[in-house]
Amino acid sequence: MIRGTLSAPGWPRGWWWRSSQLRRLAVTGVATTVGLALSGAALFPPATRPAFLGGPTTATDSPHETTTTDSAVPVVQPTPEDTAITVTTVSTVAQFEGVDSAGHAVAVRVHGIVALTGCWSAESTAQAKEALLGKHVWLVHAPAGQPYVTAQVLLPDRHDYALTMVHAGAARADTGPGQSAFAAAEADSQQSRRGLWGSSCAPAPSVGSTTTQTTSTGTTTTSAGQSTASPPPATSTSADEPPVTTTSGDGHARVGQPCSPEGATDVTAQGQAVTCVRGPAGNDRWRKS
Amino acid sequence: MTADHEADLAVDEFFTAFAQRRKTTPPNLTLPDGSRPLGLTPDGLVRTTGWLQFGARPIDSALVAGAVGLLAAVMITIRVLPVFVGISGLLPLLPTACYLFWRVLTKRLLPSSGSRNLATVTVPELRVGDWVRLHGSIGPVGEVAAVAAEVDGRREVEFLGGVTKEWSIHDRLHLVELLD
Repeated sequence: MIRGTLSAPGWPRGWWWRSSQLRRLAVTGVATTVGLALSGAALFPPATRPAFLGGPTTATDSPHETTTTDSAVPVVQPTPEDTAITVTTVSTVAQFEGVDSAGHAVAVRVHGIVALTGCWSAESTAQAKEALLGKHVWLVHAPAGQPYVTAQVLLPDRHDYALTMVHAGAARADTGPGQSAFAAAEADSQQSRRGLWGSSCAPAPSVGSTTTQTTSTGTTTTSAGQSTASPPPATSTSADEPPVTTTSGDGHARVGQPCSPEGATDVTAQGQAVTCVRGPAGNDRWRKS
Repeated sequence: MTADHEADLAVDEFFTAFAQRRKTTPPNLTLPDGSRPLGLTPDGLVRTTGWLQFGARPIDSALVAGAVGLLAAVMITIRVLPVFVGISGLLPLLPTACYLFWRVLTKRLLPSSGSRNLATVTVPELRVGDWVRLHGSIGPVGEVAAVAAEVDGRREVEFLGGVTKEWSIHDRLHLVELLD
């Protein structure tokens, strides 16, 4: 009997009434803890990485078997100033859209990488969608409220998205100075034949991407110089904004260290985007972008 | 079956129902101020609310419900706030809703009296007119109408309204003060 009457209650009520206050408090505490834990598990699922971003490295044409390891891509802790958005649309591995906490739409151009075109571009975009779509990501030092931004992107697990994708062979590193961290990741990906590099689309190692890194409302991507088996280097052009000047550093820029010229950009060994900024004393030093 | 017989059955049924209704009318139990206990039920027992008491201070269960609502609201807000600022309104609303739900439940849907445990006594120490818990330290309360003589180390207690319950003479029962 579950319900019973006040004089002859069912077992749950009877047990509860007969229990000591200490036991009732213990039961309530345990029930609340379990409830919060279950709610927390439902509300805060662990940041899962797509299958293609974890597990052993293989060399096949299948994008889902082309993998990388967490340890190769540094974890960057977002700051309260970083804009958090939920990704709604993924156009290419280097471009996507989302909505910020205020509900404003934001179009994002990912700093440091260019999208693949032609052969393997579909797989690359599919992997980008798997990594981003519906996810909560951070745009490092991106100005809030801007409809179009170029930014370093952090995945829900705080890994740098661009480095992750380059390392997975799902994106090409942008060319130019200051891209050595990406170039190193790409070289590693090439060597391990991950993603694009493990497929029949793999370009010759000497073939790179030639890009003028831009942020625009309508970046266009065109291909050129494509062989039968390899994709062309991606070339992105835009006339809406001036190109970003990057430095020719060795990719180990450190915040606070001298740099030149002013306005140059680079990425630290930890994956932090930095900009060469002139200080009050007239000395140019790396600062977080 | 004749029409007269059917009429007799209907009359019987009417008076039977009337008698049952009279039987379920709560006894005339009153609080010291003359009012009827909010949680008074037809069998004379009083439904109570509250399961927590620190010292002489009973804790309102509506507050506990509000606290649980606040915990839930905090978790939901932390999760949803980055993508929907409006969720912050949940922070005051959910605890308030939980509090009000418990209030409505214990005042309207299942009227229950607030109560405070005063002391514990053994059955032989019970006196007519004492308010006592029937089950442990929380739950329904009855007003003692009579305490029977001891039989085999046990005593039967009759409460106003007709409910009886038997305890060992060594059992300790909670004397209660009804608050409303």
